[in-house]
Amino acid sequence: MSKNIVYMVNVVHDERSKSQKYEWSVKSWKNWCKNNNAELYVFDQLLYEIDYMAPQWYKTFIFDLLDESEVEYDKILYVDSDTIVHPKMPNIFDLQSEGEFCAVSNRFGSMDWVLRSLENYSKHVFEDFTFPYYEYFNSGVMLFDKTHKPMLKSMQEFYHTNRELLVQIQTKLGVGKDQPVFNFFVQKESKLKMLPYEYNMQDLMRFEAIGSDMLHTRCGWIYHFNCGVTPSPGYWMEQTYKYLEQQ
Amino acid sequence: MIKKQENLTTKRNVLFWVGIKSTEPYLIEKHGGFKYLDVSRKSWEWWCEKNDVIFFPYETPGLSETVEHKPTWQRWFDVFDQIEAAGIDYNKIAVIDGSTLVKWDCPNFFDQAKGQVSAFRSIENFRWISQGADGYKDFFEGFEFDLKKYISCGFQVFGESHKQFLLELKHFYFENYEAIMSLQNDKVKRGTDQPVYNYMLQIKDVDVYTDMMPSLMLTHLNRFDWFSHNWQLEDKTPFFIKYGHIWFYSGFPNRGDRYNLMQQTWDMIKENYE
Repeated sequence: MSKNIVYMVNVVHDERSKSQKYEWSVKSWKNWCKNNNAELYVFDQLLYEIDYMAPQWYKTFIFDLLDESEVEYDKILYVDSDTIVHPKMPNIFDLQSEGEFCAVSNRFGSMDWVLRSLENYSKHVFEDFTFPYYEYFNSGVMLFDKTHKPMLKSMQEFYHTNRELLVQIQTKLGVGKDQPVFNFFVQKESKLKMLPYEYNMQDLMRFEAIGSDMLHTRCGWIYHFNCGVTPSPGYWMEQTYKYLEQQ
Repeated sequence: MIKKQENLTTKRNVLFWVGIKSTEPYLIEKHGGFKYLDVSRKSWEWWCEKNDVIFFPYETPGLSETVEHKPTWQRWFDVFDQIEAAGIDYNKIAVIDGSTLVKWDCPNFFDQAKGQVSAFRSIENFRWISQGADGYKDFFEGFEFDLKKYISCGFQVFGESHKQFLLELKHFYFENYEAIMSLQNDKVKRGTDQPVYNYMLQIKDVDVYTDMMPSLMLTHLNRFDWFSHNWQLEDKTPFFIKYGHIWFYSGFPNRGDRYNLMQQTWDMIKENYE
């Protein structure tokens, strides 16, 4: 019987990734899945040499990996491994209808970075194709289904074909890796549905949501410890998990 | 002076532009003067004419005492009274702060408004918002306020169906004036009307629509790096001008910054309004 899947990439390949405490994210999602009739899959292997393809691109292999493992699935929620989910988050899968690609806008943060990402990839990679800035999403939480299988396959091929250009942009302009490409592909090939900020609370320091009183746990459901949260994402993942466990 | 609108056979949309220039030294000091209102007004008058919207400048509050009864409160008590007193046959009303500029090609947002009231969620500073909500919790008898529904009072669109709510807000304000002022000015100090307005929206379960185009409310321009531009493509147009439609000049360290920034913006773009 098919189930909804939560999928996470957690490749430990260097000293930095060893110290990120991603195990708290895994625990958190495991608990949520248990209560919402979903299955958690964590992919932790290198698919390519790290110099050839960064693990951020492994999101595009979700269908291949599930099919290879002969997993029956319905909807898929991809989550970054620096997220913690509130155990009482309503069933997020209910927000998606067939064919919809759901994500949270990236307009909640540094618009300098977001807009340079949008504009630079538009000019250098996607032949001036563009779309409204507020539809540019963060690829740390994405909800989709089987209808998106061809799109993710196209993205893999796109990477192999355009790797040199993509790496050059990443290196020289510093405006994101997989995220801009996901955005352009979804705009061109799918139907985007924006989810509210609560389902991917990014850049928590900028919003003054983070503190020892765990204010962020009152403001939304998925806490994404990105954008250089201090002292470290691992610290906040552990603190948040332990706090929510006691509630 | 507001002139009575005559010979109007169809209902029209109204922009209720809050532009009170208080003469109270305390408020002049707090806001760094009110010259910024002159800049805002030029943009809105032009936009209203272009979009067949009645520009209604709110410059004289019902109560002349603007320290004890802040214009941010009084606007809600006066909006329907003043528009109706002017004989305007209104459809939807947009209430907007005078600390804003509207871009020349801003779409007609009245077309996007839905529900009893359309507004924008306010999430720019969760600390400030939560302190406001928590500070009023006892006053509202422990009501479980949902931070995820907190809205900004700076820009709202509504029709006649919202009149009763504003009337109830007015009664609530005067019946609880001493307690509200104590919380507003001494104990909580997180906004004026906004925390109470939000509590009442949730207590009364008002249908609030929060999905108008995000570009209609660009706020905290500095915090979110909107003043930047794409130097990598050698494009010097600031992002907020390129992508925004309504700019809110709030959230700056010094209130006096507002006029300077609004005037600088206006100088860059004013030829588009001719």
